[in-house]
Amino acid sequence: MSGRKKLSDRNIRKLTRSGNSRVVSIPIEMLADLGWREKQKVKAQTAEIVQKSKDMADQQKAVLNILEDVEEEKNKSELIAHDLEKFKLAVENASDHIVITDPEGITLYANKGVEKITGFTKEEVIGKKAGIFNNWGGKMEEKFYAKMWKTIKENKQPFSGEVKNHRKNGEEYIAFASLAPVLSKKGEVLFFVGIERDITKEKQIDKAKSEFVSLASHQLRTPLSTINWYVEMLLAGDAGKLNDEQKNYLDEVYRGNQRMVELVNSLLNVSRLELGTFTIEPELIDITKLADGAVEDLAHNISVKKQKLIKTYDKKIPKIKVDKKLTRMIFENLLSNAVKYSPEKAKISVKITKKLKTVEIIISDTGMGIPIEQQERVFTKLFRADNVRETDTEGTGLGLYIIKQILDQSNGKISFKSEKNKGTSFTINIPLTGMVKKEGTKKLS
Amino acid sequence: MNCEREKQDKTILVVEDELPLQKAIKLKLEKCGFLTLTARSVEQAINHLKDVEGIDVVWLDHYLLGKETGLEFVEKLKNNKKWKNIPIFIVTNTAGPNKIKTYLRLGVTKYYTKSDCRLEEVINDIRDFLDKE
Repeated sequence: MSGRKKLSDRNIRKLTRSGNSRVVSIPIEMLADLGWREKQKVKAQTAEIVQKSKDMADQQKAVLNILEDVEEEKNKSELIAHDLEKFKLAVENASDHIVITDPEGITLYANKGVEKITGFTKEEVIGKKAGIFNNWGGKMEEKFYAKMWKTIKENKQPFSGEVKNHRKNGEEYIAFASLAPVLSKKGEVLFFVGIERDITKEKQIDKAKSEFVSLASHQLRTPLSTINWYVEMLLAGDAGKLNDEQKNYLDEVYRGNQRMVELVNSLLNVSRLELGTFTIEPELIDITKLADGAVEDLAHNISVKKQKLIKTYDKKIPKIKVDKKLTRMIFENLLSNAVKYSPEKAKISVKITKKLKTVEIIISDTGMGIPIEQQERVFTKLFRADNVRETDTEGTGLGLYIIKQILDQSNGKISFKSEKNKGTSFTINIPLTGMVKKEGTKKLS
Repeated sequence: MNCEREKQDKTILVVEDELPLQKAIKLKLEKCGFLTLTARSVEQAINHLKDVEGIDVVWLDHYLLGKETGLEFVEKLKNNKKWKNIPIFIVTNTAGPNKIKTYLRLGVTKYYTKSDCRLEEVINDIRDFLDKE
């Protein structure tokens, strides 16, 4: 390209700016060169523009996407906020008493229910330990609170139970409390949630119901005694000799009346158990003797049904402190069920063994058993299994409920295994330390 | 039990407010050869004790006519030199264990739930008690 004037941009601009193309004389090869170079440049610039425009379109798309995301996020967080608000309102206005505390039990949040039920304002409880004597708590024994804290704080498990509290005005009330720890992913307690429901009214109704049963039953005992005693005198021939038919009829009257007496006694026992007015008076007793006594009472029924009774007692069953009457009641109840609900020639067994911490009593039969679908209701009041109801009309459905209550309230345990048409086996455990003494006002009869 | 053959010659004061029951107790006791006096309130019972010498046994219910119960009656008996050694048999449907404890502490001889016991059972116990004396 030597000798050729270099065609720079500047030169070209100079040439074109003069406006006179005529004076411009550009050699042909220079023009060709210019054309080629311009083409290349335009090509490059076009590519660049295309790229830029593409980039811009991409960027725009990205921006739009971001905007869309932002919008979505915004909607989402609005929804969350809305949900949170909803939850907050729900918790705030729930009729139950709801508190949230830190891991030390210091109240962080209390809803309106707390104010309504306890009478303490939020300001009075927030920042203070929840459920202490200075606010609504402190009415239960130390043991209760110790167990509660152990469950939720150490074992990190939910705890629930009935608790006696007091309102700001000093009035006591009964609440059903459910406390639960909220744990972090590492399993540390973040906070506790406590929900309590005032069940004082329900309790009062329950009490009134039991008192009614108790009163009605007492009133029933007088006419029952009248029937008993007059029939007793008639049967003894005090009013003249009876013929066989008259005797038979009166026997039926007497038996019917005895059943009524037993039913009234059971109802009274239920009401005492539910009112908590019954006593447990433990005394040192050889419980194998109590078992023998109950077996003896049933000897007649056992022989009528030609059943076989097998007693297996450990040689060294220690005397333990139990309430004589209640323990006897447990034996009588389980044994009479075994006899009643087993066919002729069935085997009934009473096994008493000493375990590490308890005396274990197993009473089993080869009778009709409890249908599996009804087993969980066995200890509920007035429950009678279908197969039993079909064959025997006499039971009250109170016996097992009563003995379960007795054992529950005296530190004992009862469980059972049963298979329909094969038999049932009840296992009772009474601690070697004995039944817990309970000062009530009424004995079970 | 055929009571008619065994003349007892003993007097029992029956304190029971429910008339049909009182009548049944009286009939059965008399069948068994006892002499009976009946009262429905503490006041009536005390009057009998004052009027009649030699009451051997008291058969007593807890709730009676009037304000006073069997418990007050037992206290009155035990605080009286002449009456304090009369054996008392409580036959009632209503006394709880605390009351029973109080009765036993005051020195009554035995306690029964009316609807669970037979007349013969109480009478046999009374007879056994009197025989031992």
